[in-house]
Amino acid sequence: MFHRRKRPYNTRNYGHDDKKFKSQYIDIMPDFSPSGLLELESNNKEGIALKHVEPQDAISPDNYMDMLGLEARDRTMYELVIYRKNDKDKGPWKRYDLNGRSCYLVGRELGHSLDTDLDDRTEIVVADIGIPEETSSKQHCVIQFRNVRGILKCYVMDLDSSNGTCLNNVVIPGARYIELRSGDVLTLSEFEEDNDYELIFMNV
Amino acid sequence: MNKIQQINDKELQSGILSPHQSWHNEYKDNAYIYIGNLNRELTEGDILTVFSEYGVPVDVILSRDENTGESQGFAYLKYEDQRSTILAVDNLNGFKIGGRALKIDHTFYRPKRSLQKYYEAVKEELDRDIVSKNNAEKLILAKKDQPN
Repeated sequence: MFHRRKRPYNTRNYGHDDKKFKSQYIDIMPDFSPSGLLELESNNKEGIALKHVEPQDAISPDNYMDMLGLEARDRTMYELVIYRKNDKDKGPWKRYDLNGRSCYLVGRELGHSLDTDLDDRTEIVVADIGIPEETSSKQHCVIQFRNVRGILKCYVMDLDSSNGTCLNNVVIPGARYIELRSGDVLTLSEFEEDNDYELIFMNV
Repeated sequence: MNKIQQINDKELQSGILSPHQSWHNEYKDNAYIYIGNLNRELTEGDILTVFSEYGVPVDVILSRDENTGESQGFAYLKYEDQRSTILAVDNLNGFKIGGRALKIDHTFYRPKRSLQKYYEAVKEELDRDIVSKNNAEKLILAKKDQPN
């Protein structure tokens, strides 16, 4: 009777599953750190995660005055005046009215992106008050109005920016509320030579 | 609207309010839930963050590719109290995370031998959330040993 010839050794693996000859498995381990997606989803603007979340007692000056029932001529007006150094005009570069909202984000607004990889160098601006300085961060600091035991107060908080924030020429600590008073001068860098713009908080 | 919501609506129309008469009662012996349609960038930490809203998770298994370790988009989670599964299934179905709507259902989970180290790591991490009698004694002793 005809017997089937035994196959040579090197073809014996034909048709077998490759997994049989895997040297070893990679041990699958869990990852308990957050991926950042949840944070991005809860607080973002144009796909960029915002660093600041407003506190529970945040209130805008307009809402506060409405609550007190003040008439228009009796209301306090809050303003941020920005001066540029070495300006021939000696006048303010820009004025921002701070009465309408409870929170104002200060950051970089150059008009073009610092990222050289982008083709059109379009800049995504998330700041409400834009400062055209390369040394300022995209989210540098925040000006926040709060209702503190019935009194409206204004605070500034540095959002852990790269170059820090100065209040009246003193470097303020990061991620901490510092109260602002009328006439306070803010600059967006610890180094004096980097400061071309001064932000002056006013209430009249 | 998915099928689970349809079933829940039918039960409400029929006047079924008791947990014993609900369709959830079929799964009263099991505290695992299946979580599908996950964004593949989510980690075990994210899943625990979202699902801790309805109870204490005591086990989590995010299915990962055995060659690359990347997430495959579905997971299993076990609650300490079985009734938490009802809350999670009813409330988080269709909930959007990372742009994708979750699919959640009761399920039976069968452990795999190849994931033994994974289970040990998860158990070690989640045991820190639960204080048992032995753990309480250890914590008290540890506090006494610490200098003030």
